Amino acid sequence: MLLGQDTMRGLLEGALARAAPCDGEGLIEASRASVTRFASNRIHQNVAEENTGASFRAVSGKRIGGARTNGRDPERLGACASQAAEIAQLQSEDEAFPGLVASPRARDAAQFDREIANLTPEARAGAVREVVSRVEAAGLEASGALTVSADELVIGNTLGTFQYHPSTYAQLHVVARSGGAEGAGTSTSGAWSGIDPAAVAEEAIRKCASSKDPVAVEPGEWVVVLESEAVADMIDLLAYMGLGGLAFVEDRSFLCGKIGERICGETITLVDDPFDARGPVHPFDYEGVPKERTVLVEKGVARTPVYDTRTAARAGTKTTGHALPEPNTFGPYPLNMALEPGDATLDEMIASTERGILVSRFHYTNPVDPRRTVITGMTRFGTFLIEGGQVTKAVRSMRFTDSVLDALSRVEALGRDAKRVDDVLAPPMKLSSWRFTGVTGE
Amino acid sequence: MDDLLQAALNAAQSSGATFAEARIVRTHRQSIEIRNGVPTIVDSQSDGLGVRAFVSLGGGALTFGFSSSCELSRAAAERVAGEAVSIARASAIVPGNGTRLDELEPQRGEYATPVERDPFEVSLSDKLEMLGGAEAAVRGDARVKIAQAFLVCRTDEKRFATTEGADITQRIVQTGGGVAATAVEGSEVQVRSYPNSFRGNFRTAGFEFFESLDLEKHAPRVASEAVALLSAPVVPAGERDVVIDGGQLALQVHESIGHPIELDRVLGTEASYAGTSFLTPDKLSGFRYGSPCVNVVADATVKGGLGSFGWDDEGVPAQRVPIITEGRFVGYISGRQSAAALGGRSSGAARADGWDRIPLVRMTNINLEPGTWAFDDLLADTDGGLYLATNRSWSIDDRRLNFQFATEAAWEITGGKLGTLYRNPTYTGITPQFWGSCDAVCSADHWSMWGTPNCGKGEPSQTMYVGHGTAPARFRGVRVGVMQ
Repeated sequence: MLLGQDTMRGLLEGALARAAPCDGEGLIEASRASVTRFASNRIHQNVAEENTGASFRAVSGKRIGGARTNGRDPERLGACASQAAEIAQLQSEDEAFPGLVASPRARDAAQFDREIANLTPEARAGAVREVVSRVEAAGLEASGALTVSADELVIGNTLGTFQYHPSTYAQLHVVARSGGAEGAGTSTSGAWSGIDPAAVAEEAIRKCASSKDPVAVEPGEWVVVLESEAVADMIDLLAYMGLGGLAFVEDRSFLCGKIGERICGETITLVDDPFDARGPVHPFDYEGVPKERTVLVEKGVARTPVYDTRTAARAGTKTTGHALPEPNTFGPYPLNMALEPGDATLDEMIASTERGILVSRFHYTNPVDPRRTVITGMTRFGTFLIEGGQVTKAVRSMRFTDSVLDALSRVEALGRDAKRVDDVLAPPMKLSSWRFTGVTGE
Repeated sequence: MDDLLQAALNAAQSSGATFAEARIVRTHRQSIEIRNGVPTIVDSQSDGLGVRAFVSLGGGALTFGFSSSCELSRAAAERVAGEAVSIARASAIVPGNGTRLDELEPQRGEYATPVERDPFEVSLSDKLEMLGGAEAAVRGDARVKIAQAFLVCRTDEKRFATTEGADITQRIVQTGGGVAATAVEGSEVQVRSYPNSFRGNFRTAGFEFFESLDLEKHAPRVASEAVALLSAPVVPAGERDVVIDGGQLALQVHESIGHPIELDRVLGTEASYAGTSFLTPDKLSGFRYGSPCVNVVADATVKGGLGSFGWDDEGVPAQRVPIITEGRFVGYISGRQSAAALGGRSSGAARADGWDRIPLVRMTNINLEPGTWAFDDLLADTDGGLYLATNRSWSIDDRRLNFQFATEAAWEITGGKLGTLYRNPTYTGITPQFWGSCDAVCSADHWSMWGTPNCGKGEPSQTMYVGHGTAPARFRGVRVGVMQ
């Protein structure tokens, strides 16, 4: 089960000693994960893995070397840290690097569920059996995956930083299919008690049943009601396109020149909250800097990108505690985004729509023009026509191409119930306009 | 046979496995990026063992479980094997009709990627010098805010064995890289890359391939084009004849041919995640996939392809398999289970991205066969068309029909030459109609092997490196300028 804080600290500090005479920073993550996958009403893939991954950064003045390995053998870990030090000696200087940081111990916020950690293959299969039996009884075909993992993470450096965090994760994703109709349900939680196979299955069944005999509608500008999954997808891409500090200091971000200015509608407040227990808890970043709640957009006004120590130094400010494992060239990233909710229910949004499209989820979204936050993708797992305040027909999947920030300036209603979608907390929302540019083929 | 593999297989059989496979993979990867003069170097190693154990459901049907560990010891091998069998038995709780494996003569042998210079025997200082020269050649214009040069090399040492006596050793070597320039002016951001976007081009080859890219020579053009794009007009919307360059066409092939021909996807194994395929089995009877000049093969034997090897990760020999012949769909890519489901034999396309993953049906090298046109002649014959170069963005639906791509640049084709430069080019289409509009493919003189090192599939996710041989080709009446 858990190696424990002391054991992991011993592995980390033993390895970092081998980085001498360089200063060193390391992270070690011990993980045990399982995925029970099902399709066509049977378990078709069932896998487990155990791994201990380690990453070391050695610093000699302004020269940085990086190396990664896996395993728990102290000699192997030490050799990896030593290799990072050798690479550092061959490096040229990174003048922008502010040095490793000495940080106090982060708040203890363990999110470790023993039930998940001890879940047996039989228990996982039993949860899948409950899903499959319900979907099959409805005359449909079940596909999906049950993912569980238990992790221990330590991060520390030779300046005295040391952080430890155990965590667990579970996600059940179910798709019910019949002919061309599909519906999905998903539940994500840090605790096994947060996963309700029956409820997830019933949501997928309901969406699939409603998705039969879809009609084609003309692309164009439509009023849309987006469920939480679609909103979370949009927010995730927004972060990828420009909420990271590296894009900001390199003048690539939509936030450039906009801090303190309105960039979207005043109903939009987007935060990064590492301690919101509805989402994944991250007490510290990958440089070992303790995290705090960070307001990214407040009532439509841009407040800040997220920073690590290097990008913060370039921007003349302090780290916000959003470093990813170093070394990396992607820069810092928000891992705990939450879009603050409004006061409308999904039913109220639908009832208030004379003619529009209800979108369950997006699929294969990608940036088209990051500076203008233009993205494209498809709708999936249930797209419906709203007429006279009611859902009347299923609609064939459609392609959209539109700007996220422009869309967030057209919010007519924001849901009051935020849902955890992977690592984002998002409510549903209604937009006065969303641009569909195509329809899927026959 | 490797002692650990033997121990794992013995333990699997003792635990009741009908059939078991065991793999040890040692992956060494080195990534170097120089960004605005600052190198970031990461050297990584990942080793481990995975066991896939099949148990009988009766009547010839099977189910399987997989377990893996980073610990390479006899005790861990036996534990992992026992766990794989336990997981297989748990899978039998929701068995459906189970699965079957096709017939396969157990293979024994060794394979190594042919290389002239092992990339890990080239000194770090030599690599930094070459990359530094290339990156410096991107810089110069103040509007180029980010100058980048990349080198990635990787080796996978694989040992594979089965309870039927297969025993295969392989060493796969990959090398590649590129340069990129990001130009910024006001709110406009434009990128140009060479030889391809997203870190460059990659092959199963040694350091000689990276040297052949001659990044420093191409770097100034990359920078000047990025700057020129800042003030270029946006591509007008409409229906146009387009000539697509080899690099972008590689991704077009990847998304709209490579994925829909994955037989496991066709049979529904990926329905809850990546999706299914419009290529239902009835379409094997000659479905019109494209025009008669569209010929596509899946070829794991071609030298240098990122999807080239000796045997796949189920121990099936590398093969060349026709996929589309004169526009007609003729074959899938498959693994042992999916092939058996259609009563056939595996096409040798079951691949795992590491010791901790099961093999899934993945592309090998999905190649658009060369045609007959000289590139200059094609341009001369496409007056008023657009030339689209280098991928910038991609998206496609879950059955692989409706797609949309953006490229870094486009040029008006005027009088047989590349004329006006356009920024933010996008194009969209429906897969069979698009390939049906292809009426010219350039010849072998213009054919090149492209590497896509980041193809995602599966749960847990896997990242596979696949190849696409392409030559520039023309497509008629394509919808461009989606945002306009």
